[in-house]
Amino acid sequence: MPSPSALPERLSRRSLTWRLSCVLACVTVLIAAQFVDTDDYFPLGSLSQYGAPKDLNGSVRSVYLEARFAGENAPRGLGLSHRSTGVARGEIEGQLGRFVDDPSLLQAIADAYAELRPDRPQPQVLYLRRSVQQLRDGRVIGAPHILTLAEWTVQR
Amino acid sequence: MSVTAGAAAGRGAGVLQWFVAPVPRARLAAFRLLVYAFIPLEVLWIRASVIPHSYVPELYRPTWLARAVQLPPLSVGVATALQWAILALVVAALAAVFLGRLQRTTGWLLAATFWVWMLNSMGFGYVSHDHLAMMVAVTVLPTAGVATLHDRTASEAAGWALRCVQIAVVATYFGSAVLKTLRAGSPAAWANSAVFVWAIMRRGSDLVRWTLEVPLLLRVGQWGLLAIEFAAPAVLWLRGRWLYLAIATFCGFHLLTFAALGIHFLPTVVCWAAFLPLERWRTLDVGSGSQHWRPTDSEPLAQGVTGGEPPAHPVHPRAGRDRG
Repeated sequence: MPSPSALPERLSRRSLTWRLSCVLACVTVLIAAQFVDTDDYFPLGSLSQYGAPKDLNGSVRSVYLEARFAGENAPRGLGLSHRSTGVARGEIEGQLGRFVDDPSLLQAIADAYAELRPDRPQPQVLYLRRSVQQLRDGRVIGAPHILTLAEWTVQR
Repeated sequence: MSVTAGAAAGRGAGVLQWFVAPVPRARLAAFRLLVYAFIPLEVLWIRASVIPHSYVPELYRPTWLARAVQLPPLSVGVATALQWAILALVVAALAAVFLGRLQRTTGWLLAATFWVWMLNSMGFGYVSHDHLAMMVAVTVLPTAGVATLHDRTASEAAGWALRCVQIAVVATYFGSAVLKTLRAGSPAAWANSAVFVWAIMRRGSDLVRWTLEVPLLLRVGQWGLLAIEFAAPAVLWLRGRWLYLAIATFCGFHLLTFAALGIHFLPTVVCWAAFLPLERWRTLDVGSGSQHWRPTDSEPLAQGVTGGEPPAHPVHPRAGRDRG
């Protein structure tokens, strides 16, 4: 093994200054992002995964997509994943308000599905839904309550 | 200068020196290999969303930096070309480590393309917070210039780069604990809530769904998680077996969440290696006769493992020169 050098390579004052300034600036932004609670400053945004407390007697809400296909009466689940719809569930949840305000955005998901899954039956109507499951003392009680957040008849 | 003022100035210099405590350049080279070799996993698996995203440009919601540089949504062709460019640059950057040449150039090009990739990946309404340390790593690694696996010269530039990654790693946990406290109003309000119930209901594996019947166990788990997150900064000053125990604890936690929820946090897990004396891999060679490395009086002090104070050596003759 080569013997280690006895002389450490030091930084000049200028190199040291910009390096420490960068650390200070980034740490400041990161701290501020936690207080402002924004992930807009990626990668220095809020570290918010599982950050929100959940009420032991509250509800668990989960967004999902359903689709009605030609020749079928009842809609069925259409998995939200990058490989099928271009965006995953977390991304839909992250801009849920946009879909509620403008259901025509679901057309983008239908178009992506048509391009990414051309060999599969194509949906005629899309439903963006939310299941709400009630908790009591941290335990699930009863059947889920289903809400339809947005509905869109696919344009071809 | 009075004795008191002199002592204060000495402490201030000591604090500054902590940020640039020298490490062997071989350690930085080994960490580069690890991070750069991990990037194909990012673009092909973990954050492979960029090409699919090009099918839904209407849903592009860029974050601040992407807006600042006016990064548009990518077409399928551009996203595919970017993926190939990153993979080619990974090969070039890995080769540069072995050859000891062009490390800064390949490192910066890889960092730039990876930033574009990640800004797109995080630009559709969901930002995952397991990438803080990885983004810091790809950004700071080129700043340290040339480093090879055989170069045991201690370097402050290498020390700063690894220290930045270490800080980003512990900030990932500590910042998360701070945010939980801010959102809930107190640590107890978060730890006594039903977050794990919520997580397991939404994406829990069969391995852990039984815990929904034991809410007390989940609450204990929440307290444990919050405790290690708040304690994470202490890792910056741990040494020896306590450091290894801490790293094993955090990586074990991620293994658990992967089994329970499918959340692996691999980009952060990889960056935990910034705490390790990676240059020692050569002493573990079969036949080397030594499984344990010990610092000698002349050994460059190692961040996080053998000591934090810089050695009182004279300034290296190459100090201040940009290398790369």
